[in-house]
Parts: sequence; structure tokens; C-alpha cells
Amino acid sequence: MGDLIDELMGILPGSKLDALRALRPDVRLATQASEVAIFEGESGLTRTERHAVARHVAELNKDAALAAHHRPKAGDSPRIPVLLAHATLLTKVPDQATPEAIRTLIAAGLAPRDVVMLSQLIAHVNYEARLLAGLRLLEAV
Amino acid sequence: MASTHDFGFTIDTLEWKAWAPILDLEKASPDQIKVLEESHPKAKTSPYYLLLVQEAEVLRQRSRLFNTIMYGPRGAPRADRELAATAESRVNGCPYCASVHAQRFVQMKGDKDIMQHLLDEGVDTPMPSRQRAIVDYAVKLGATPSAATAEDISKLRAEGLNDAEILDITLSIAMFANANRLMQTLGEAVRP
Repeated sequence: MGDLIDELMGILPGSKLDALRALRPDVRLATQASEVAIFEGESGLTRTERHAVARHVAELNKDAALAAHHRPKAGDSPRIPVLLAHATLLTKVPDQATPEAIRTLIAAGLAPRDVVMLSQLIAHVNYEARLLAGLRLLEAV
Repeated sequence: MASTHDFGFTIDTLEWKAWAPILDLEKASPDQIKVLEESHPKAKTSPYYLLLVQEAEVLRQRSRLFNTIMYGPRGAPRADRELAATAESRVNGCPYCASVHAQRFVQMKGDKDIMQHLLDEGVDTPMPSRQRAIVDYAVKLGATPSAATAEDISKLRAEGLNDAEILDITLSIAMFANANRLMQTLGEAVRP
């Protein structure tokens, strides 16, 4: 079974990358199951908010394919600026994070569980951007 | 501005303190208990896992991913996966992640002196060419994915790594782009 990475890369059954990825089947299964849990699970964050944050993280990582995947499902909300600012902090300068950044999220109406979901989402898209970049290099050379 | 780099880097065991409310184990659902048990042997007493398990299914899948990438059989030597993880943690400034994975690197027969220099002096410290190739790739792919190039892959191949092993190193770097960001932004390292 393929995952979002296979879909975005156009990895076809029997190809070189398919054979390499087949050596770690749990990576495919858990990457796809993470997609479902993060973007379709019940959460205080709306789905359109989650996709907007994911698109932003993909753009910060300059991954056009990943950003394009999330763009049609992304939407606006009053607290989107706060969510995107947190995504920028975690993605670009995680060493600058402080408890104050979490207090800002709580003040914007996020429950502790929503803070966990937001953090996991941002971390997950950062994972995907690096896996995609590495696979593109392995495909090309 | 303060940075998590300021804490310093050590191979000694550190603790971790959460910045957000964690789950009271007494109130955990049977499914949350199961996810904790699947995640890590000490998860039920770890503030990190008790924080993350508030989104149980997300943690279940993330732990499955982490465990297969770092501990899965065959493929890249585990010391190489740990080296990549520690180098990235050093650059991103995650002292907790760096200490845990520096210890694992040594347990997996990695050279302790190389690791100590990497922690003390940073990723540019001199090291043998095989480790150099892994660390350079980890630093570039970890910082900005597009910064890694075909030349980095060529250097890894020249050191005898096959593509399955390079994919394993890539997965370790990708996983620590994830792990560093959770550890650094949901709490902080503390000395026991």
C-alpha cells in the first residue's frame, strides 16, 4: 500500500524507489496512518486550519508538491495568523521556542490537546519534506 | 535572544520538563495506556509521552514510525542512524535529543571520542570520512531539505553505503526533524 510520499513522488510499483521503500513497509503504513490521524482525526483545530498550517510548513521548506497537496483543503480563520506564526517558529527557529509561545496558543483558544495536535502536525510535515527531498536525490542520481 | 543551544550539550543523561499540561496516568483510557506501552518502555513515567498521548492515535503512528526507523532490522548500521540523529540534534539545538542518541551511538559501537567532540565542538569537528559524509548530509537535509545535493549522495556511496542504507539515514534525519521540534518546543531539558 502506498502513502502520500509515493503519491507526491509518482512512485510506481516495480520502480527503483518502490523497491527501496518496500524494505521498510512500516514507514509507509505509519506515514499514511499519521496523515489520517493528523488531518482527519477529531480535533479542536478545524480541518481547514490543519491544512493551512501544513501548506505553510511545506512552503517554508520550499516543497512545492507538498504545499500543492494541502492548498485546496486549506482555509482561513481568525486564529490562523497565530497558528502560522507558531509553525514558522517550530520550522525555522525551534531553538527560540519558549513557554510563552504555548501560552499564546492557549490564549487563542487552543486546548492542551490542540497544542499537541498542532505540534505533531508541524513536526510531521517537516519529516515529510526531508523524506521527499532525500528520495528525489536518490531517484535522480 | 535565548536559545536552547545555551543549555550546552552532554552525553550524560538528562531529564525533560513539559511546558504544557500532561495526562494524569490515573485518568488514562485503556487505549492511551496501550499507546504508551507501544511507544517506549518508560513512557508511563515520561512527561514527554504523557503530554503527547493526549492525541493517542497520532502518538501511536508516530511511535511506530520512530521505532521502525531507528530500530528496524537490516539496512544502515544503527550507529550510523544514531550519528545522523545526534548531528541534527546538535545543529538544531536539542540537548535532550543529543544526549539520548549520543548514548545510543556509543552503545551501538560508535566511537565515543568522535561523539564527544561532536557534542563539545559542534558538527564541524574533524572526523573520519565515513562519519563526515553522514554528518554533512544530516546537517544539510536537516536544516533546509533543498540544501542537500547529489554530491552528498555521491559521497555516501563513495564511503560504501548502498541506496537502502542511504534511505535509512535519510529516514533518521527526517524523523529527527520531527523529534527535535517536539522536544524543543513543548518543553525543555533539565539536569537531574
